Amino acid sequence: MIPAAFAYRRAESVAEAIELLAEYGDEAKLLAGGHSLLPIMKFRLAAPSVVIDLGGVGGLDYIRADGDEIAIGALTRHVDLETSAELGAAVPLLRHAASVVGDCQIRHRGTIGGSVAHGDPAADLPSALMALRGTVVVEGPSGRREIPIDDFYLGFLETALGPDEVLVEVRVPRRGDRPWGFQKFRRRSIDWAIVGVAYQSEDGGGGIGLVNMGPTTLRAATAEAALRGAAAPDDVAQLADADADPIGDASATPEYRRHLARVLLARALAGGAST
Amino acid sequence: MARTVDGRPKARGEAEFVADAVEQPRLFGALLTTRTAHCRVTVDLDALRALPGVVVALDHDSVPATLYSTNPHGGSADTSVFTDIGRYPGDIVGALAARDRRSLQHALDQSAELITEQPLPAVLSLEDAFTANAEANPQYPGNVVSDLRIGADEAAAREALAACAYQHTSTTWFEPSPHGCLERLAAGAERGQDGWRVWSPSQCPALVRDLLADMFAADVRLEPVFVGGGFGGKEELTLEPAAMLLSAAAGGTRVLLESSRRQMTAAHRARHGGYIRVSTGYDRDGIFGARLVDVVFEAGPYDGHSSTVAANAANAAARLYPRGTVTARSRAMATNRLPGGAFRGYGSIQATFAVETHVDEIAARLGLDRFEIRRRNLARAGDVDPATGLPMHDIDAIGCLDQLARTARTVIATRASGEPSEGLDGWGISMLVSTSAAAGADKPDHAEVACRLEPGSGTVIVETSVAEAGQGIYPLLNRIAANALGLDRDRVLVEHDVRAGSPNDPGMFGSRGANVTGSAVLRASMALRREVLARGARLLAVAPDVVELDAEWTVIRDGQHEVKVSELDPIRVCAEYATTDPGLAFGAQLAQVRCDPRTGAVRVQRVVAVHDAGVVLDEDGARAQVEGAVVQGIGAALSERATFRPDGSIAESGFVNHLVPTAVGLPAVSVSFLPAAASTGSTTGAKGIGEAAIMGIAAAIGNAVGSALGVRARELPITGERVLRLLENTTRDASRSDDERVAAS
Ligand SMILES: Cc1cc2nc3c(=O)[nH]c(=O)nc-3n(C[C@H](O)[C@H](O)[C@H](O)COP(=O)(O)OP(=O)(O)OC[C@H]3O[C@@H](n4cnc5c(N)ncnc54)[C@H](O)[C@@H]3O)c2cc1C
Repeated sequence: MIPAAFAYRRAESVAEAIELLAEYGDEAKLLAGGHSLLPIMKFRLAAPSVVIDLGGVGGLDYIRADGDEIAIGALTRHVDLETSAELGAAVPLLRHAASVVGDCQIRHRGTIGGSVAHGDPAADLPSALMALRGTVVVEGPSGRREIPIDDFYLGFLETALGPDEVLVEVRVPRRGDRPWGFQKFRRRSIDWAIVGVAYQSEDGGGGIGLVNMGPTTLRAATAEAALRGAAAPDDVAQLADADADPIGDASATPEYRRHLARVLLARALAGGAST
Repeated sequence: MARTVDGRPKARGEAEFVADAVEQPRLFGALLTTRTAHCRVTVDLDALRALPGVVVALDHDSVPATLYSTNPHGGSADTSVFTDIGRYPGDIVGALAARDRRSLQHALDQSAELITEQPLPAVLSLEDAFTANAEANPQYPGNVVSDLRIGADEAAAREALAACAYQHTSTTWFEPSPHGCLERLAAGAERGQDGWRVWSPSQCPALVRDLLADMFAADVRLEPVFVGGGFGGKEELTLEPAAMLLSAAAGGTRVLLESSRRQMTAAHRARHGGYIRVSTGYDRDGIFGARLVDVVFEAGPYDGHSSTVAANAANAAARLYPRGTVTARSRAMATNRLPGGAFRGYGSIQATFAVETHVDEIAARLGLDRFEIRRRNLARAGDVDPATGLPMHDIDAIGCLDQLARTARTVIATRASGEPSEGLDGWGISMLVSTSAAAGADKPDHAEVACRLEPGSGTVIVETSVAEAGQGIYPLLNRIAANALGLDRDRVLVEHDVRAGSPNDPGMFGSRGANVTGSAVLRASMALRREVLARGARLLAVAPDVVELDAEWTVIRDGQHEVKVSELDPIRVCAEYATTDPGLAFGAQLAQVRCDPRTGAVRVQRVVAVHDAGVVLDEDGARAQVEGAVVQGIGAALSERATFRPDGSIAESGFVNHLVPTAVGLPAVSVSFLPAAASTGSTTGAKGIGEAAIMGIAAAIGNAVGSALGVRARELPITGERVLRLLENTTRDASRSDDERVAAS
């Protein structure tokens, strides 16, 4: 449980972080809340030779309205999402998803940027971004670019983020008081999801994101198509796992995960928000 | 090292566990273990020793030739400190020690390639143990580690069963589960001129000391430490001899040997997996006429505690309802998988689940009330205990049941709240029976303690070899002594002392603390008080019965003259307590659950526990034991398990996937004790509670799930996936009768 040896650098700005990334290349890892990176370093699943701490970077911790979108700084912590009245009014799904991440300690350390960049299919926030059709904003040596969430996840713990890029912002459309649902199924109250479903209604249909139903956060595209075709909610729910490829592990078999996705989508479509 | 209670040092982070108490170790050690279920092993020691920072690397060649038992109470001698035949994935084949933790970790990362494993035919399931040609361990022909019987002759029991108007048979299955104590196993060792100093988190330090002294033919002293939870997982002698061998190989230098969380989860010991079959014959009033119990537990490749755990499960299953002709058989079977070990309840969680779900099924068939069928069959004072052949005494099982029925009325009437709102509610009950001493008719349990007065400070010190593992034994002994001495509790300290010749108490297990150790402390305290008076009388030259001691223990006077207690010479008295009475204690528990029929999730909403704890010496302590046991029982019922992969290894690796309950989401627990009418014959009158309180929880939850969903959970843990499968089968089998379903399962 001891990480391999590494050097520690502290960036004071996004520009400095990008410079450091350019300097160390593949050897380096950015550190935000540390609640995903440090555990995998301790298990030796990652052994970066340099850790670049973003803790000193100012100005990346915000939730603000920007036209018909809400922009959230990468270093915004889960607890700030959870307690933001503004986010609650504009994008209640995201606020709720943040409130069920891990336990209170984790929500005080973990950041939305870290959660999105890490690319863990079991993470909660990315599924909400999927349902909301959000955008990830990254910055690198050649400037800023915006990546739609659908293009962001490439594989297990693998994203479209370049080795010299920093995730700086997450953007989601305002959904106000349109219906939404978030269902997280877990064995104990503070666990990771065995399966989770995020649902956000939109004009003529809705977005559906799945947690832990494959190697990445997934969109339930087939179910969304049925929703657009005005299928009955129960029929839509039956399609929850049509695009999924869940694994079997000590917590659940693949069949059980598929079953859960269908049950949870039915509940999410009915507006259920699990605690 | 003297302490009153453990709460303060633990809350302040000052309490020393093994890894803290071994100050500035010169070497840091780790175990070398196998990956293959059954294999011949060679370790490339030269290559290991050549790794940077590595000072010692040992394998089978450096251990004593004789085999020993890791069970300090004495199981079959079948284990080598380092084996050359790995008999389960994670078996201990050697150890290495390095100058610092980083070098050690580096060496461990390399070690997998330096251990060669040549596979042998392996026994990879309980079924294999009965049918395969392979032998898990040649010491156990036919893979039978033990095969024991209690109660009536089996043929007679079968005859009695056949003679009953109705018969019912059910089988329940159990997955194993590791202990999940917070402190990982560790051991320290150092050889000095006057012998060995060993740091051990054992629950049985005095036994471990004696065994190590024998094994190394040397004087051994165990240093006092706190134990960070044991639950039976620290009733195994594994790391201590390895730490001593590492130290010896480096000239006796101070070594700290630690296990990893993965080893603790996947390769140490577990609550036994296996199955229990129960057959009962009964009449139309639900009165039992015969019962046969067949316990089959998976031992893993070594005996350890397995034969006694299986036997204890049979005892518990037979004792609850000793009506008619009762017989019980227990078998421990060898496999090449994770060994079973002692675990809070010692087989009784499984036995209680088997019997109590079975009794509910009989009640359902007869349309009898669940309380009533138990009332008609429960053990009563005077009934012969099938386990010992002796009449049971000072028991009040029906009192527990009736008290539970009174409390339960309000619980059952209120619908629980919580998620999901469309969930189905149910409640279930379970009886349980526990012992309060590790005693049998032919094997007494005994404890020694010493009490000494330090006249200068006026402090009394209780010397015990029992360790404080969070169970609250030190506060309890402090209270017993202070009450008997008539002193404030802060004038009494408890000292952990495990040297040759120090008071010998076998340790913490079997719920024996309040009864056996407590009785010895009570005796020693009374003897100390008498001795103080006698010394005073001698100085005053009067008879001991005319002197008295003031409330503060400052002076001894005879009416005219007085001597100051501070002027006495130091006094030390020893006392012993021995009993052959197992100190039976019954209890009754209820669980209320909400089940989600769509996901299979079960949430426990409320637990009610009624216990006969004899004289309750410390109500807060006893209550805390019950609450903790309920939490652990919920884990056993719903989530804790070790899942075998096809190669026999365990999928769980730590607290990420070994799901012990957490503080968030626990049910309300109400605890009550029977008025102390039924006490044991012991000096304190107390009965054990630590193990009793865990025994019925899984059974009550199983029965509650049964009442909520109309399906019978026959396997622990009751995972959501299992509940769903049961529901599916019921819908599919709706046309078949209950009997057919039971027969098919
Ligand atoms: C016990 C436990 C339970 C948890 N339970 C849950 C749960 O139930 N649900 C859930 O969703 N999460 C859970 N988490 C994870 C938690 O939410 C993490 O905080 C989050 O996933 C990562 O955020 P972080 O800020 O800690 O990132 P870090 O750990 O610091 O970084 C994670 C990864 O992202 C990269 N990274 C971080 N910031 C940036 C950036 N700005 N630009 C580019 N790359 C970046 C890092 O290099 C690293 O690879 C749990 C964590 C723990 C330890």
